[in-house]
Amino acid sequence: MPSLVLVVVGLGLFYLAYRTYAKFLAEKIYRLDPNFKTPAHELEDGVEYVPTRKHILMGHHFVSVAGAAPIVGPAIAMIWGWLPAFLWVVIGSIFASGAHDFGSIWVSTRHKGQSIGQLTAGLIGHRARVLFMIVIYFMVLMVNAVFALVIAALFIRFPTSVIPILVEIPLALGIGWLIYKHKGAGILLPSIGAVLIMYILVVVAGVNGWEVRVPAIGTPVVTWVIVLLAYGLVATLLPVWVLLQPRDYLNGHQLYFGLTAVFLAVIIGTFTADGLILVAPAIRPSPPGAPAMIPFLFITIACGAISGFHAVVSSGTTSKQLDKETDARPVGYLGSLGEGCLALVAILACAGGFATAGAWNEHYATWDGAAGLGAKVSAFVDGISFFLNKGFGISQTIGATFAAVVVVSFAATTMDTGLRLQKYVTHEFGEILHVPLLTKGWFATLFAVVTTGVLALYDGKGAGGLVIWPLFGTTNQLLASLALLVISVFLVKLKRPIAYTLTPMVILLFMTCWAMLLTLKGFWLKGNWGLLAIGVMILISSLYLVVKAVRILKGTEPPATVPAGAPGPG
Amino acid sequence: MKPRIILVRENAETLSCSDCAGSLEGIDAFGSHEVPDYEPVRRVMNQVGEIYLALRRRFGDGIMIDVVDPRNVIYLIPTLIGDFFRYRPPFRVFIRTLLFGISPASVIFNGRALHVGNLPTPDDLVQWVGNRLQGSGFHQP
Repeated sequence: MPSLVLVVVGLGLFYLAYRTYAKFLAEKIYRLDPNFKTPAHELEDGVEYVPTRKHILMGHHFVSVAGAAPIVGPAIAMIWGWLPAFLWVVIGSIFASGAHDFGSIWVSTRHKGQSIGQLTAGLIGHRARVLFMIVIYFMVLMVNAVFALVIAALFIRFPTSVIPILVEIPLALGIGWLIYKHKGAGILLPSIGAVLIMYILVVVAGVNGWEVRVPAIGTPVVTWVIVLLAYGLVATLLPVWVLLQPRDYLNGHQLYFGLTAVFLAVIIGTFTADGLILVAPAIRPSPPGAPAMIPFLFITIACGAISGFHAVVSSGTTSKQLDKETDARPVGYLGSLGEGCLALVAILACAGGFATAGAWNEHYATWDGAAGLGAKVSAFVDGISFFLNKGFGISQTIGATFAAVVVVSFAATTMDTGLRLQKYVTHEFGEILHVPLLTKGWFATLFAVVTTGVLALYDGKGAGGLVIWPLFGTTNQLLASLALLVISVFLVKLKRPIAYTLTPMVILLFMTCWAMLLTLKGFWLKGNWGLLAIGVMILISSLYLVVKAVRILKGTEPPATVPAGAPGPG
Repeated sequence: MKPRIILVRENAETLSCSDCAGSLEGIDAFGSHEVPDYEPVRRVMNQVGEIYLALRRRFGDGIMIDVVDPRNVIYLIPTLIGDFFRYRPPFRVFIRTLLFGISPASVIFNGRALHVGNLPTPDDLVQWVGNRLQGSGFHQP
């Protein structure tokens, strides 16, 4: 089947969903009121509460939700064939993520811009907040460990990508100095120029075979992970304006450029002589060594189908700036569809980006084949390079270097952000537990880096990424369930139907608990006691939060605080 | 045609690729302190907030005021191109604004960058805008 069919069907369904299901949610369930005084108007201060037109918020929201995770998840899940991944991304984005992201903004808007995280803490009390932070800490820890392995794997498989990535660091440092210290400089030209320099280096490195390989300490993966964590340690100790913020500009350009290039390549490539054909099997229920498709598909693809982190952590900014309540639909629902589009690109690349089924099999013969995670993520890179070759005639070496640079840039920024988040949560624990050492910035950073390193390298080879990924997916989906539950609680208070938020919540909760129990059983049988302990802690903490919220929902337990700002029924 | 002022300033958060690590701003989500790393950004946010409120008080809904993060290029670039056709600044000014006018602290009025990198005081900007609008026959509320 031509790849273009998948693009047309996927985007067509997203369009229909926005016109019908999102409209239904907006009018019948959330009952958005164009005359409701949003927090942006009620608390207008020009700083955080600013009435902002929907087109501005849509751009802001999309850039923040898109990243490396919607690429990695589908690239792994492709082992079960393209159809299950495609269906989960499309159905998940429409019915789960759409309702979740849209609903989170709506609930937050009705509560003076408080995020779902703050509402959850308010609803279920102080102990819940601590548990919540434990879950967040481990989740970010897993993201950091997995992305360190992803970057290491890509550097090893595509060594021509190392130089452009290394050069990105001084470029970002230069931009940081230019715009934050040498005030008065515009950002657009330098940032586009920096991305162009990176892409020129992609071409030069690809053509000349400029490869960077590191001497192996144990294995090359271990060496790269150590190098990356050393970089992470330094980057996290630096002020954000030095590296993190300027790199944000470069990544934004890469996101738009990469997405546009790939979609155009698919369309142009489809109309070339031999077209772009999906060579991956539609369904492959039992690939060797892989866990069962159901329930693991639902947690392998988290971001791209539904991601709890969107609502739990990031619902603050958008809802404080919503001009009209009715804008929650285009901003929240389209934002989730936007991330679904990125996941679709990943599915296309991994299913249709190969000349033959044999080439596809090299990546997906077995779950752990060709170093597991590295093989799956590099399927995305190879796929994109194939599309760029078919669509634009770009050499596959250059195309692969380009795709690897984009993925590594995204993953590195996520890792930088994640390490900082770990640092702050450690600081918070230090205050709660009265351990002054944990509140020291340098120690909290070191603690974050060391724990990430221990998790990434727990097997001594740095090949544990595929083992950690299901834990991350499970935690993310448990958080999504929690957010859907909070939205449902609010709908109950308003005496409105809850089936549209409770159904995806129940399905997610069931699948994630099932997958988590199977994962824990696997850890137990293999004697992975450290991972078993982390998994048990996450599962118990998450289930405690969910059970507590359900009891409040049923009225058998009073909420810790009554959410403010609730409108009357209707 | 309403005049448009774009106040460009960063939000105190990471933006791109923050999906699964959560934007740093999100630490507030579980009731923690504000992220100290973003203190300089918050200072600019506060300055822009004062300018925003001063403009709102003086001109009400008579002018459009957009507060935009400079990383939101998918909004800024099409808007500046649209403003070039809407307000007809000289082509040279338009190019300069597009390439050099977007910074972590900028004021853009009708497609023309007025301040880049350093923000004016609220009073100065209100006065400048008022003079400009009086010249063009704008009725102030």
